[in-house]
Amino acid sequence: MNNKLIILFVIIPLAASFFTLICKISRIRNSALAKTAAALSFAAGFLLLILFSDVISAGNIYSNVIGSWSIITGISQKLDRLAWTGLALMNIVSSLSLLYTFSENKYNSDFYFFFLLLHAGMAGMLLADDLFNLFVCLEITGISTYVLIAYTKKEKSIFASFKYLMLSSLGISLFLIGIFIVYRQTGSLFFDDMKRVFSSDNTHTLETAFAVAALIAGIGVRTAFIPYTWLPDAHAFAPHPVSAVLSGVLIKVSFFAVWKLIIVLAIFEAGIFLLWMGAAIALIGVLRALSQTDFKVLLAWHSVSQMGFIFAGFGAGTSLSVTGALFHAISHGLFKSLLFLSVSLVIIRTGERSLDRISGMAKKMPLAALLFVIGALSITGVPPFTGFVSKNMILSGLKYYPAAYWILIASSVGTVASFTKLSLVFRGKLSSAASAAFTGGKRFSAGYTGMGILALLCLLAGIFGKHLASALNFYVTATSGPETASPWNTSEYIKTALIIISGIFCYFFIMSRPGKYLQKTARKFQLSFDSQLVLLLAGFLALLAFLYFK
Amino acid sequence: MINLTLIAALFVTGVSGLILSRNLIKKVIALGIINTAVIILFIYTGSLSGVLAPIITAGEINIVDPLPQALMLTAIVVGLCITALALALIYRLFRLYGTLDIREIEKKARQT
Repeated sequence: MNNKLIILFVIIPLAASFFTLICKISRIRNSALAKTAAALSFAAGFLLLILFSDVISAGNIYSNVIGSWSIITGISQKLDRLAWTGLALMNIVSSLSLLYTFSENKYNSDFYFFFLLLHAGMAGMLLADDLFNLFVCLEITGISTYVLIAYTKKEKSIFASFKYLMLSSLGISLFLIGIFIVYRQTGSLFFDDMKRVFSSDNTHTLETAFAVAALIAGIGVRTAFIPYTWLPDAHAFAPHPVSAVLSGVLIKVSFFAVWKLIIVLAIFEAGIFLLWMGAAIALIGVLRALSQTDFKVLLAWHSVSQMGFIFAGFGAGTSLSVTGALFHAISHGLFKSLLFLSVSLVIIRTGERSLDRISGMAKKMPLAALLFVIGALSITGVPPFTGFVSKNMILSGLKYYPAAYWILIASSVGTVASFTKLSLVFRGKLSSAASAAFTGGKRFSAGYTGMGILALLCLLAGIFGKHLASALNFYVTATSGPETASPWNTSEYIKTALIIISGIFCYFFIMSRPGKYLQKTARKFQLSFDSQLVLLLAGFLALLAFLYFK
Repeated sequence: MINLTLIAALFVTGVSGLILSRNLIKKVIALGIINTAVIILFIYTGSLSGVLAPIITAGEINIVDPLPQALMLTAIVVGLCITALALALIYRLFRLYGTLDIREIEKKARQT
């Protein structure tokens, strides 16, 4: 394939989004044209992925400077294995969520405009090979996300969108300062030039530490690796398919960008910081999730927690844990979008979103219940689903850091407990509020197809976990020798069983009277927006101090 | 050095305004100040690199580096979009909650 063609990954969704904008401007009421454009754009995305599949099979790397400008001034893009994986994850999860929007059928052309623009931006972020380009694509994804979150115009979603906007704009200002220092030191924003300068000169002056901390914190806002930020509100109150895309794809894309930056800036010692930060947010996320009653807020807190797992595995830096982090990023993309979509179906059918009012929906919606169970089994790490393999890879990779290991085990126990709690939506007696509010509604076949494929992928990724893991191992070591401890041995099964049993005990505790009181107290504790801003800056300063004194 | 100190002071002013002020519109203004501080930082430092306009004529050497300017042009446009979007969201929030005070809004949002 021609090097120049990689820009099509960005151009096609961008062109489709402009087409939908024209539909909007010319006041075409029917959104069928916009839907077709969106579907075609994703189909083209899959076609491109297949055409460029030698990236994955043979390890070819395509790079291109758009318009044949010199490397210093041009926009440069690179398609390597990491970018290919990200694009594949993005296309799979987003196209299946798109099927869900078709079934939900309440969105106009302008929704598809922002949806496609978001994907153009994410593809650009994955392909970006210079900081300028990365900055522009970050902003494109940012702005389209703010609008998509606020799309339903409900009070909470508008406020969530506003908070996200302010926090990530502050993050972007930090990111720009980082770009400034990097450019002054290296004279180039091109990743390869930066890599050369930073890996040869590894002395950490205050200036370099500042640049690195600013760049990582700037993107880190988007991955929510600083706890208690915007993520739970934004993901919970966005339109349902958007929640799936935000949790399933957007935070992974930002994580890949952090990954790329860490390699480019040659700051592998930042890994320890990410490890402890990851372990901390894995636990905090789970603890917060346990106390929630709103389905989607609970799931959103789990996104925070699972990102903690990913960062901990990535930060530990062993070949096994980094592969596990990449694997977990992919499997989290699959199962979390499945969970969001299946639970949202209950919200669509009943208009209720609180566990206090809804239970026993399995009688009314057996198929949704089944899909939810597959997602829940994946996230809790039950074999043979995908979470089992990836979570165990991260845990086995953490054996040099026993404290972090036990924190993650505790988070896994919490995950089991809170999903046992969330399964009350479907299990138990049908609550009177649920049966009163339940409306049959229209057919949902496209949405079910999308969720079914996601569930199937969760299962397949688990069954073929070994092959997938050794394929992903390429990224990390760039040698073919897979150093993969197999999770399919007796001790791992026993460990998983113990985690599940203690999770169920934990569930019974939180549903008892003192547990409920604790939940209520925990729910009351919410950080104000101002303290979230302070936390972002504190996270940045902590990273700066860590890098400087290291 | 004094210039850089002033830019840093501008940045800190913006950040403290963002955190301390309770009014949503003032928060957006503070964000604008932060953005401006970053822009001035780039333009000022970039201007030290040369004296001539970066319009390509062969053999010109003493030109200003064009890349920071291009980057800042983008940042200014993005900043404008962000401000407009933030104000639109604030307008909606005001219509829904009847106040611009962030603490009042948070209190009301918690009750519902």
